[in-house]
This record gives sequence, C-alpha cells and structure tokens, in this order.
Amino acid sequence: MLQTQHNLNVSGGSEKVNYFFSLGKTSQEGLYKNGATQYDQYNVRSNLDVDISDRLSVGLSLSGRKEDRQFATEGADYIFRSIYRAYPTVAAIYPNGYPSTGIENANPVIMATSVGGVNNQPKYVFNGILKAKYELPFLDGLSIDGFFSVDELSSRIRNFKTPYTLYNYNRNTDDYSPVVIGGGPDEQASLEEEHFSQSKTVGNIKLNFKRRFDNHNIDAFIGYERSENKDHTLGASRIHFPTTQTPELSQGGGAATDKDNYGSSYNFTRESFLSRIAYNYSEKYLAEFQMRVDGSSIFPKGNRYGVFPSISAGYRITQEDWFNVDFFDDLKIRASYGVLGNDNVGQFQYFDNYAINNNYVIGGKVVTGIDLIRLANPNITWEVAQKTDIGVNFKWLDHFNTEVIYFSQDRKDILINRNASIPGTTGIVNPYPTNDNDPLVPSENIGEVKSHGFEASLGYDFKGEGDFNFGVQGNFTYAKNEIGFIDEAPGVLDYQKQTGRPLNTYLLYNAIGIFRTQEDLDNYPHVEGARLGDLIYEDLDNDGEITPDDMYRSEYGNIPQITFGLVLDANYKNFDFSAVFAGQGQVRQYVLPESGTVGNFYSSWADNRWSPDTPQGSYPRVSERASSAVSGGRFRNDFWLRNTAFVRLKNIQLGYTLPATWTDKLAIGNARIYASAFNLFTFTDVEDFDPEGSSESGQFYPQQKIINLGINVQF
Amino acid sequence: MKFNILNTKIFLFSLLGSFILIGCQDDYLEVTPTDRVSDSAILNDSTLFEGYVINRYLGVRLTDKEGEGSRPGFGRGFEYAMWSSLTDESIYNNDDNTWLIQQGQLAPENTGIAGTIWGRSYRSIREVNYALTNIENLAMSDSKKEVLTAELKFIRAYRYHDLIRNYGKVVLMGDRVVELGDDLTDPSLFEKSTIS
Repeated sequence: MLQTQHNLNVSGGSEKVNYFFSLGKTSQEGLYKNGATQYDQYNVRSNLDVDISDRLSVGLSLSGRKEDRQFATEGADYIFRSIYRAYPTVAAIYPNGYPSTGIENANPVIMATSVGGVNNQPKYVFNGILKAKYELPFLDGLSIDGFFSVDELSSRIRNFKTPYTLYNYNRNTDDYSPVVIGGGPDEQASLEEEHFSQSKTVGNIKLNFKRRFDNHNIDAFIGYERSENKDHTLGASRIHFPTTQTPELSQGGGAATDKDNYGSSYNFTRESFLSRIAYNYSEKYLAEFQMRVDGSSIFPKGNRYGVFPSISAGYRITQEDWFNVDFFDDLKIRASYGVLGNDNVGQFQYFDNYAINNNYVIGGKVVTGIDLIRLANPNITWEVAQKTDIGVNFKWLDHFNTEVIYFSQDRKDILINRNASIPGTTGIVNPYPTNDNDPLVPSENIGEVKSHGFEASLGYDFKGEGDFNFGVQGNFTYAKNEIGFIDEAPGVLDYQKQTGRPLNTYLLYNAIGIFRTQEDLDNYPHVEGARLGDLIYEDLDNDGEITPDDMYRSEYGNIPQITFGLVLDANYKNFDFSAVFAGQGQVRQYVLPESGTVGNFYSSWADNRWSPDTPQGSYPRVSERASSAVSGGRFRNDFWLRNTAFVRLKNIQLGYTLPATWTDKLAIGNARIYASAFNLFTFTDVEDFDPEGSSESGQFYPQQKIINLGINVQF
Repeated sequence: MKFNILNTKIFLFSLLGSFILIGCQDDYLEVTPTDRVSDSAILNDSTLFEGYVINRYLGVRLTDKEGEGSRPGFGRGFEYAMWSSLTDESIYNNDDNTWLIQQGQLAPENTGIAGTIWGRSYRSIREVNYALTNIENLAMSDSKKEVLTAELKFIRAYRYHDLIRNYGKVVLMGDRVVELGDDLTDPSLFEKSTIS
C-alpha cells in the first residue's frame, strides 16, 4: 500500500498584514491487491489577516479541496463479508487462471478489482470565512466581532457496473462451467449517477467586554448566531447497456423502463442567542455563567426555543497566602452544572406527513398515489441533558500533574419512538424499517438515561539538564449509564427488563456447558432438537424446561464502562520517541460468525469443535447454518458473548532529526527520518475478530496494522 | 482622526452587510418541506385525495423479505417463511419472526410473522376511516364522492375479510380513527366480535 503526501506552504507578513498560502496533494491506494480503490486529494488554502487600524482588524480565509475517490462497484462491507465467508477448500483462482464462484457467486479477489466496473466519487469542498473585530473607542475593553462563513460541498457518484464471468469446476466432467455475474439486469452493464450538493452558512456577531480592574477580571459577551443548511440530491440511472464501451447515461437501453431518476432536498435552520460572563479575582476565585437560547427548525412554533444555562465555579487554593504546603505546586477545585439540548431527529414531525408513492397500476399505467408516512407529534421539542462536574486539578512535586473529575449526566425528554405499547387494532403500525422509510409513530420526548462516573489522569514530566526529556500521561474513565425509561412491553420479566440497566445490553440464554454424554442429555432440560455436542442452557426459572423465560439480560453491553489510555514521549539529542496505548474494559460484544454451508468457520471453532471424535471440544458441534442452529442464533446465548476488553498499542513512532550541519549544506531547513506503526499489537481474549468492532457477524473492514517509513523535509 | 472615522464607516458598512447576508426575515426557523405534504393539503385538493384513496389498494410492508420491490396488496403475508414454519413441521433458517412463535413467545405487542396481516389490515382500516371521515368536506362532485366512498368501503370490507379468514374473531373499529393521544388501553381496542 502506497501513500504519498506533498505540501507547499508560504507564509509571511508585516506589522499590519499576515498571510499564509498552501498547496497540497495526497495519494493513497486501497488495502486490496490489484484493487480498484484509489484516493487522490488536492488542497489549497489562503489566509489573510489585516489590521486596518489600531482598532479594526479583518481576516479572510479561503480553502478548497478536491477529493478523487475510486472504488470497486461492490462496497467494502460486501467484499469483507465475502472474505470471511470464503471456504479454505475452494481456490480463489483455478490453476488455469479462471476465478471461482466462491459463496453465492461472490469472489472477493475479483470483487475488489475493476473487473466489475468502477465507482468514481469526486468531491469538491470550498470553505470561506470573513471575520472582523472592532475595539469600540468609548469604553476600554469593549469590542464587537463577528464572522460569516460559507461551506460549499459538491460530490458526485458515477457507478458503472459491468458483467464478468466466474467459473464452477466440475470434478466428474473436468469442465469449468461459466456463470456471468455483476453488471445490471440481463448480464448487461448498468450506470448510476448521483449529484449531491450542500451549502452551509453561519453568521455570528458578538459584543465583548474584557477588562481588568485591579484584581477583578471580567470577560463577558452577548452574541447572536444564525446558521442554515441546504442539501440537494439529484440522481439518474440507466440499465441494459448494449456495450460496456459507453459509460454514459445517453448510451444505455432504449426502453422507457431502462431509465430512472430521483431527487430530494433537505433544509435546516437554527438561531442562537448567546451570552457569557466570566469573573475571577486574581486567578484565585473563578466563576462563570453562560446562557444560550437555541431555536431549531426541527420543532414547531411554540416549542422551537430551548433555554440552556450553565454555571461553574473554581477555587485555586494555592493562591491563598495561608496555604503553604510544599507538596502542591498548584491546587484547584472546580464544579459546574449545565443544561444542554439536542435536536438531532427527523424533520416535520409536528404535522401528519403524506408523500407521493407511485406504485399502483391502473390500465397498464402507474398512477399517482399518496401514503400517510408519519403521524404528528405536535408537542415535539428539545431533548435535554443536565450535566454536573466536580473536579480537582493539582500539580505536585515539580513533575507530576493529576486531575480527578466526578461527573453525572441526566438525559431526559430523549426523542424515541413508542412501539410496544400501541395495540395493532389502532392501525398505528410501523413499517418494516429500511433505509428509505421512517416509522409511522413520531419521536416523542419520553426517553430517560442517567449516567455517572469519574475520570482521572496522572502525568509525569521530566526535563533533563542535558539532552534527555521524558513524559508520561495516563488517563482512566469509568462511566456507567442506566436506562430510566424506554417503551417496554408490559409484563416483561424483571431480569429481562432494559429499564434500570445499561444501554445496548443483550437478552440471552445462559450457556453452562456442552452435552457430552447421553446421561447429560437425559438429565437436564433442553430445547427441542438439542443433540450431543449442543450447548446446555441453564433452566433459570427451574420449571424443568427451557423457555424464553430462561433468558437473562447481560450485565454489560457493547459500550465500555471503562476506557483508558497511556501516552509516552521521550527525546534524546536528535532522537525522538512516542507511543500511545488505548484500551477498554467491562464491555461485551455478541459475535456469531456466518458459518456453515453459507460461510467459513473461525479456526478457533473449527479446531476446537465438539464432534464424536473430539468429545472434549470446547466449542459446540458445527451445523449447516450457525444463524439457525440450536447452539447458535436460534437460541441467542452467551457462549457467543465475548469479553472485548483490550489494550492496544495504537501508535508508536521513532524519529531522528538530521543535524543542522548536514541540512545546511544541502540548503534545506529541516529534515527528519521516522518509522511509525499503528496497531502493532493488542492484548485481548478475543481471538477471531477486532475487539473494537460492533458487528454481530464479525464482518467489517478491519483496523489495519500499518508500518510507515518516512522522511519530512522542510525548505 | 479623519482616517479613523473612515475606518469606522468601513466597519459599520461591513457590519450592515453581514446583517443583510445573515438575513432579517422573521420566519427564519420556518422551513417548508419539499418532499411531503400535510393533512390539510390532502383534504383541500381533490387530486391528492384521490391519490390517497388509490394507494389504499396497497398495503404496508411489515416483514423482512416481503415484496422484493413490489408492495403487498391484500392477503399476502407469507413469502419466504411459510405457515409450516409456525408449527413443528419445519424450521425456517432465516427466522423472519417465525422462531418466536415456535418458541412460544407470542405476546400482544409482538405477534411475529403471524401478525403481518393483522397489523397491515388494521393500518389500512384506519387510513380508510380517515378518508371516509373527511370526504364529506372535500370540494368534489357528489358522484365522484360516491364512487370513492364505495371504493373505500370495499377496501375496508376486504381488509376485514382478510382478518376474519386468518384470525377468526376480530376487533371491529367502525369509522374510528385512533390517534396517538387517545387512551390506548381502551377495552374497545381489544374486544373481539364474531359473525353470528
């Protein structure tokens, strides 16, 4: 995998004017061998800051970027799914060079290449910010500032799918029977094009007051901000291309049904009134009050505005004259309380939504039809999160720093959809969820989640007299959340309820072993169809049979309650070194591989399976399809719930800066040679998949182990 | 000093300019949808109302592999999964809400695949009732109203026919349009009637 990066920067200025220009290009290839994936980026930026007078300054920054992406016509999800499913006993490419059909005619070795066509996705981004600041002449410390920014994005998709041939080898006849796949319908090429454009504007103006009166420091502002977001999508497609030589919409099949088009828009506005006043008395007593009123176009008139205040206070004890403890270099206590809002839900939920869906045919013609797609919730308004923080920061014994924070966050009025408590006879029935539809039932401000925990960090810094410097910083977070309310069906058993438990827990049977003898099978209750080699499920309610009442809700979900990290830095003369470790704990992930006739087994399962010949195997017997097996997906159980705690060396880097005496001779400013590695090693119990993934089949584009060798040269 | 006044003017002009750019309309937060209409549009435009009635011949998709590109009309409800997979005759290896019935987890709020026709029919009955309740006030010729009313009543009858054929006793809703704010534990939503 090759990655290149070039940058050219020019900067300079005078007393009144500062400028900065840059140009850059980045290129990167994909992970696949002979893959179609390619990325090229070109970027340009210019910043200009001018002091027009002593009081007035303006700035303008403009930046643009072109991102050229090319992919295979199949997505990475499907390519990786096909890799995980591929049998080890079937060659990807036969000795004569013919590609094999793989599982369900998906051969990842071919799918990743441009054999099935290419998907080009160029994207253009423009960013502009104009800002100004004026210090008002009549009162010292009073100023006005503001900015206006524009973000424009334009991206296109051009996906030309061409058919190609895979082969099935028949041992008896020694024949390779061809199978044509890919492309559009009827073994002919197809083309999809899409254009997406997005425009965001933000205007902001603030009146600031910042001044010091003896020991009293005041920093305050009031402000107003407006933002607008406009999106537009336009798409068209054509099928039945007579040739793959003409990837243009005009050159496809001639029938009216060969053409299709679509379009949609999204408009969103928000306005905010902002204010803050911060006060401190000689950096000893600190207090701050903030108030914002946010209005969002997501909500109806009358419920549009949310009021979100916050307050904080701090006390730096080491500033007190009476505080004379040599141990502490700095000691600060602080506390804050604030309310935040969230409006990140679907639009127009405050009235009944009807949309045109032309599906019905009368007399051979599709006619205009209209459907109710969403019921109204006229009371919809902001979600609210109340956050409380109490913290202590201290620096001690010259080299150490420590921070300990307790936090709690109460989220309420969370916008979620009721479901369980609405009887079918009402006719208020949600459609099967897909990417193109919304539930009929609107979001309502009914959810509640509480969380609390603490964060701690400890650092050590060593500045050597000579050429050696060293630093280490560790952090640890414990956060526990608890569902206060979600719409659960009445009569859910206590030990199966989600209410009162963390988010994203699992409802599972408790697997307590494997049926290894006929006596086990006779003596212990089991589900219908259980055989020797299947998992034993615990009869939790002791009623002598295994029923859904025997399932329990897991203690942990797939959101880690513990996260931690460690950063190391050191340098000695011209050498520098850094390393970053990260990890998580108290976390579980359910992963059942797509195994059987539809896909390969993890080696840990295949090697350790129970079978009549290996009755001591630690994994249950294998079957035709794991997702519907007695020991698999048909009775979701905790054998497949894995502890995804890990410690991972995320990044390590070693560098050497060439001595100035050498670089001067070559007339270059600075040169550094480095070697770096990402995800070099991981300590975890998980054997078969990446513990940072959240896919229940374990199929996803994995984190890559990357080793870079590089040189940085500055002129 | 003169220079300063000039600068102040420049600044004030740019300030004014930025206000104009930000825009001064009062209804800044009022966004009009372009991909959907409200109930008032349906009830004030006879063409849209007729479009609404036409799509009542179609039903909502309620299970995973149903339809495959074409929307269900009447009667449908089993595609990949078959009735036999709700009994001990067969096990459907794609689940699609059949296992919960085999494993005895049927509950009023979760009827699995067996509830497909139930939910779809009652959703249609509600939508038909909404049209029947409001057709009187529509600006439309009486003869057209009569035709649409007849069509709506036929659709509703066909939905009940599907329900009775699949479930036996059913809950009769009359012309009622239940709203989310109504009492959803009202016994009339659960009382089943028979044809006598």
